[in-house]
Amino acid sequence: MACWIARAALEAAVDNLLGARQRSAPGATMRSKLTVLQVACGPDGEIAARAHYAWTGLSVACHHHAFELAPTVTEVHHLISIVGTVIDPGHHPSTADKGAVELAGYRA
Amino acid sequence: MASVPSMTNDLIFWIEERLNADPDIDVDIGILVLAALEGDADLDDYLQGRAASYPSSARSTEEEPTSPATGAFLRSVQVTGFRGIGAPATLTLEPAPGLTVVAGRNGSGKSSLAEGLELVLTGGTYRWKNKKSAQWSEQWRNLHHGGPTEIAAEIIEDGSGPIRLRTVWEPTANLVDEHTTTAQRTVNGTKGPVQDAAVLGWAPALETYRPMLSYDELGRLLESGPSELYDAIAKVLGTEQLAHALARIKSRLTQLAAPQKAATADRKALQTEAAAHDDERAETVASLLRKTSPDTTAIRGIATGVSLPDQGIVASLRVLAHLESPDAIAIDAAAARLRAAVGAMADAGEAEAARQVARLDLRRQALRLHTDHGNQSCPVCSTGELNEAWAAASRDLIARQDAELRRLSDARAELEAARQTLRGLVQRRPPSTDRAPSEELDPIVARLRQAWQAFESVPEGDLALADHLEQHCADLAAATAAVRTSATAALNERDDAWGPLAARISAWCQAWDDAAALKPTIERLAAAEKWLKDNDTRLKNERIEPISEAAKHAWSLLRQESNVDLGALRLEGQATRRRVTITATVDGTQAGGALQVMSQGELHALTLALFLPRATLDESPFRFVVLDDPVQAMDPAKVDGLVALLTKIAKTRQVVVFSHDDRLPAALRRMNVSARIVEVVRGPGSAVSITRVEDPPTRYLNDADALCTDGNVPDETLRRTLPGLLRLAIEAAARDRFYAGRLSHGDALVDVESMWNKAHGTSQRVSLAVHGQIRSLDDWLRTESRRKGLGVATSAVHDNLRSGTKPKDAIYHARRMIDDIRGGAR
Repeated sequence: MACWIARAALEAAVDNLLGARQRSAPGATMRSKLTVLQVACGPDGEIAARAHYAWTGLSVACHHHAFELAPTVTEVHHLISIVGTVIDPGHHPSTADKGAVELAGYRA
Repeated sequence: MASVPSMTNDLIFWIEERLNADPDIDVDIGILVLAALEGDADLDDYLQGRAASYPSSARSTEEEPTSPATGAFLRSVQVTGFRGIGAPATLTLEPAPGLTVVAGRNGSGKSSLAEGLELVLTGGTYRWKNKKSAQWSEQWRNLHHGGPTEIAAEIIEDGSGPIRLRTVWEPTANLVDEHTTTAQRTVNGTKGPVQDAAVLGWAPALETYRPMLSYDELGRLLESGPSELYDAIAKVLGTEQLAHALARIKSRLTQLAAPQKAATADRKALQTEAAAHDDERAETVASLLRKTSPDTTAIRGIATGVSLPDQGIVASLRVLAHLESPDAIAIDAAAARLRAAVGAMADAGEAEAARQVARLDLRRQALRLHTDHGNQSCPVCSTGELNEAWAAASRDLIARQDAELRRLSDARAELEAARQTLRGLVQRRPPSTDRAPSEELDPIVARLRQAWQAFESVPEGDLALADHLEQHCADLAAATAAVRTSATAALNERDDAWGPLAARISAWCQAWDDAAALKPTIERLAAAEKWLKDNDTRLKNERIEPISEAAKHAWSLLRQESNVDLGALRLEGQATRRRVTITATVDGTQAGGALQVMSQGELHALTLALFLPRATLDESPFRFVVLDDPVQAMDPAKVDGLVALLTKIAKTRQVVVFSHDDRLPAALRRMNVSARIVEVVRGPGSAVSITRVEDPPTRYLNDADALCTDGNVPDETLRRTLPGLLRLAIEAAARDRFYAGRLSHGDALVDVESMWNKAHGTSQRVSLAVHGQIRSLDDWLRTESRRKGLGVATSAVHDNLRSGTKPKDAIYHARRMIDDIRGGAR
């Protein structure tokens, strides 16, 4: 349940970010939005990378099939905290989440 | 953790500092340590007192093995007729830092590629090294391929240029080991001679840094004995010089200790022998030898006969051997003399003597009367006349009688003397003959006693004495001689038995003393050895610090949900008890060894955490690291961590990962990592195809396509976004092309990087890719696609895509331009 809510929150946050940069694309696929966000953010598009990571992870968690291994509590917790940083870039994640944030910071 | 920072190689300098800082160590021992580090000759010189000076520091005479290769990247691997690959299959890689995943199902030929690469580089594969059966080494040819088997690899050395390695087998070769590998350099475009690959000298570095890590090998390393793990890690620390110094000292210690060992063994042996020996000298020596530090002076004395026992059988025998009987000649002479004296006395006449003396006295007085008072009548008889004639006659008479008397007293004196002399020669029987020292001598000594007894019991009377002694003398002499002879024989017999043992004991004494003289040197060497051992461990752990830190960091990325926290990595112990200690805490509680508390998957992750730092040390001449199926045993959560770790390493290293697991590419996509993905697919007849599936330019172009296809993206947003996206694609392609071109040509990576960073704007970057330098692109921009592609990427970035241009067209042109850049079209 938490995954669904977190994902929805993330999607909203991404829309906000796009809107702030005059590149809103309501109705577009998440992939498109994230691509737009990445290009819009330019070289310091770390936030786009984190959003991408969190969204992919949460989607997997939301849609996980019976034959797949379920995500663990910690994983979900990580993802949610990343969402937190996307929503509020000023939010500093706790040390336990720092690893996850660092993880999500890898991009081109 | 980009790569582990390099460690100072100046080992001797470090040792000197330690020596100075250590308050307990003797100056002499310190110099000994430094001499041992310098070399064999220096150490021997100092030990023997030839070199008194402080060996020079800050420069080590011992050659630090420098690797001949510097910064090698992989360009391509081509495999023909080997294992699962039939027709030639080529894997092309970007010879620059970055991450490439070679994905393929099991049996696709992916492992054949990995093994082929390993074989051409190292001459063997780990998988087969440990499989002894011949079957494995015989089934290496591809069964579909009729032609010869060959593996070729192109390696690009930073700053030097490409090297082509080639491994071939004779058509008749049966075993996989029967191959020859050649190397050929290309310098400034010209190909050099084809030489044996050994000329590159990469073997030691490959062994030490192991840039190719296979799942098997990694797993085995942690499970193998502690000393193997120790060696695997210690190898990169560059402390061989210390190890050599320790070996030098140890060999000398063994050498020097040998005499003492031998002497102690001999002591025990000799002690047993001496204890079993009859001779009483042996007995004494045996008790002296029982001590662990025997008195060699005393022993030597007894063994050489210098210090004689004054009691016991041998002493008695010695006395008896030198027994003298009374001098027969002297006795004969003295007896003769006595007899003569007796005869002379008889002649001289005893009886008349006293009366004669009295009468002579009277006559003497009368003569004096006459002399004093002249002629007169004889006062005695009153008849005679004391006159001149009478005086003269009296004088003659007196003189004659005086002479006779003198002769008599002389004879008497002589008799007395002769008697004394002869009596004096009657020696008492010596107490040494009281008892025979041994049974066999008993009768002879008894006989002697008898003879002496007879000799001693002298009769009264001079002549009887003389006769007695003369008679018994010979007998006594004979008996004494007999005793002497038998005593001497007995002594010789004993000496013959004792002699050899005594000689050996004497020699042993010398050996013992010689060995003891070595003690001080041994102690000095032992002190030096101990200090070095302690500091060897200390130095190793100082140098392992960066690896330990890197491992901790790697673990923090890999561990994901493991509640095991990694502590420090330490090397401990010596010789057979050397081991690696990895401390760990589990949820905050100290757990002792990490290895014991980890699950299988965690152990695998730990191995990666330990050995990736080792493979990516600055000291390693190889700028690539190849991982064979690292994801196999990994928890899904850890795959992300692995990708994070690999991406970090990929900033400065070429990372190639072979994997059959979907999760790895999925994680790459998820984390938006700019990795290249290559897919390996097997077709019929072992025709293996290797295709580039994804790389940064491709991904950007695909994203652009998706953006276009998505009907719900507002036109304005699309036009604002597309130019930037295409620009990213074009510049990524340009970068790859530029890097590959320059590095293949032999430029140094640092120079290439700085050139790239100097370029600003897409035009300059494309120019670098196409021309290798920043210059005008006009002649290159001949085709429409190139012009339009560049146009979109440059001017449109700020102004958005012009309303006249269709997004799809823009993407089309960009794609073609990228193909041109990639293809090397001029």
